[in-house]
Amino acid sequence: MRFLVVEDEPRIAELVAGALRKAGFVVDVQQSVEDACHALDLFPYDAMVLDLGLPDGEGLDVLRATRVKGHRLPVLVLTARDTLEDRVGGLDAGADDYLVKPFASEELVARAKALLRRPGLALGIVLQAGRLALDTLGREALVDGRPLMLGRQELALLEHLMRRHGRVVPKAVLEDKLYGEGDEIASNAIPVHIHHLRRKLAEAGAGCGIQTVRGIGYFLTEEAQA
Amino acid sequence: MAHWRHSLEGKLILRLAGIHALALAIGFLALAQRHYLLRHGVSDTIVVWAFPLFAFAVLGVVIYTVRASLRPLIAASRQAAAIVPGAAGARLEPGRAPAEIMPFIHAVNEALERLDQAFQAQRRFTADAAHELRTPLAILTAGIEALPPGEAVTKLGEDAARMSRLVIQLLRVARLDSQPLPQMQAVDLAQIAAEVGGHMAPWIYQQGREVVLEAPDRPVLVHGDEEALSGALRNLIENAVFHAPVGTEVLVTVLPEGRLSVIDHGAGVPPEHRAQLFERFWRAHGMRRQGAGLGLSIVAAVAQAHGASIMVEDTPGGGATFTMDFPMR
Repeated sequence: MRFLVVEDEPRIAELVAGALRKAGFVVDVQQSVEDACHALDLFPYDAMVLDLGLPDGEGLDVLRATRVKGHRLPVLVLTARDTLEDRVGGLDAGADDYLVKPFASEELVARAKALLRRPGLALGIVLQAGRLALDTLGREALVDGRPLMLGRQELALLEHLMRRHGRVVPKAVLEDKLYGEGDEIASNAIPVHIHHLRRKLAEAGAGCGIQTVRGIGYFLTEEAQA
Repeated sequence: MAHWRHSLEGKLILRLAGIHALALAIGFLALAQRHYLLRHGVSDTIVVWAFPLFAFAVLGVVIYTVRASLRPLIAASRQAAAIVPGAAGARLEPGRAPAEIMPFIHAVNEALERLDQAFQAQRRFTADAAHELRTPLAILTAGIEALPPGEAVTKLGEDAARMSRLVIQLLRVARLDSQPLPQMQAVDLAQIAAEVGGHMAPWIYQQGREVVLEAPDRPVLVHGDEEALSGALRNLIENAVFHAPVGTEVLVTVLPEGRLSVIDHGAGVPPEHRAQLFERFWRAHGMRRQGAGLGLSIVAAVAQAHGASIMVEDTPGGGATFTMDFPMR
């Protein structure tokens, strides 16, 4: 999978590219709006990491140009500004996610992977966490290659949690995803599914679990490999 | 000269001259009438009553003219009194003020313009400083991460993380000082608590603690700035996590009457420290704290800007409970 990193500060570019390469991606670095647009025309990148302040213009210009041309590649914006206006402005222009400097490279790689885990994107077909792999097209979950028997709703829950690995998925979002509008939802429907899912993951030794944030939602955790 | 006619002096001269001309004309007509009456042998009457009337007319015109001319000045004073810091673009309305006062109003407006520019320069400085400080910090953080793991490297990483937090908090303080809450609108405390709690939960889990939210299903609307409130809550939760023992939970509650609390089961805050707790850079003696002593001062500043009260109490069974009470709309 090939990443385009657009960043004019050479040390940051080097470190971002280094972190992504270590995670197994192929990385190209460009340092200006013009070069970035040119590179995007030449090669179908899988994702882009974009700095907002560039020597010949705003990073958002690159973003707008790509969106106008109809590229749907996911974009992670890096910025030193964290005010609400900047975030809203960037999301309006079509950014998929944000990372405010200074950031940990672990966080950068996690966010980049999360972007690619979206439906239809490079990592979005087979989701991975711990020893668990979830094939979103074949609709099956495997632990070390052995199939894990899950109900339809349990599989859907697991898929949403895996796509947003490392981040909390609000309970209300899961209810929306699992049930149609007008469906009668028992207040304990999600907790019951989570309970079963947790037991099955533990029994299979999946190397990952589901953490509850009471009053908010759930997130997927990876156990330290023993 | 149109300009001259709009001055208080000009108006007075013109209006008084008008009255005098009218009085002269009336006097002349009266004289002519008297002359005519005398000529035809009719008895003579002297119109003495005309003089007080004339004096009253002059007085009336002077009072009216001066009052009408100064009314825009009073309006301008009211506008000036209503100008608050951060109200960019506020100017005095000259209206129909007399020409003598115009230079003053223009001078005040120019001064306001210069103040606005200074405000903007300071805001730009905040943003520039953010950029300048964060980029090298990001390089430092990533550079430390790339080193082979070891005890010294872990410590360096913690130091860099602490510095990053300090820079972010300093910038929040600078922003609060330079631009008091630009986006006051109806915001939902329950939603803010869910977002901030959700965002911080994985980090809190890594720290070996848990976060729990208790909030009503309905929105709890208060008048406020979402970003500032999120920042304040983030600081309260961070503070609670640093002070809560490993394995305990930090409870965030939102009550329908506009009350936001962050409850931990740590050591609590002794009563003699509660007053200074919200001061900048204050830290308890002998405590190895991870913060810079800025977080709670930001919370206090945000609370004050929202007309909310902030207090700290003991959690039943041990620990600290920080509570913000917002005025309901």
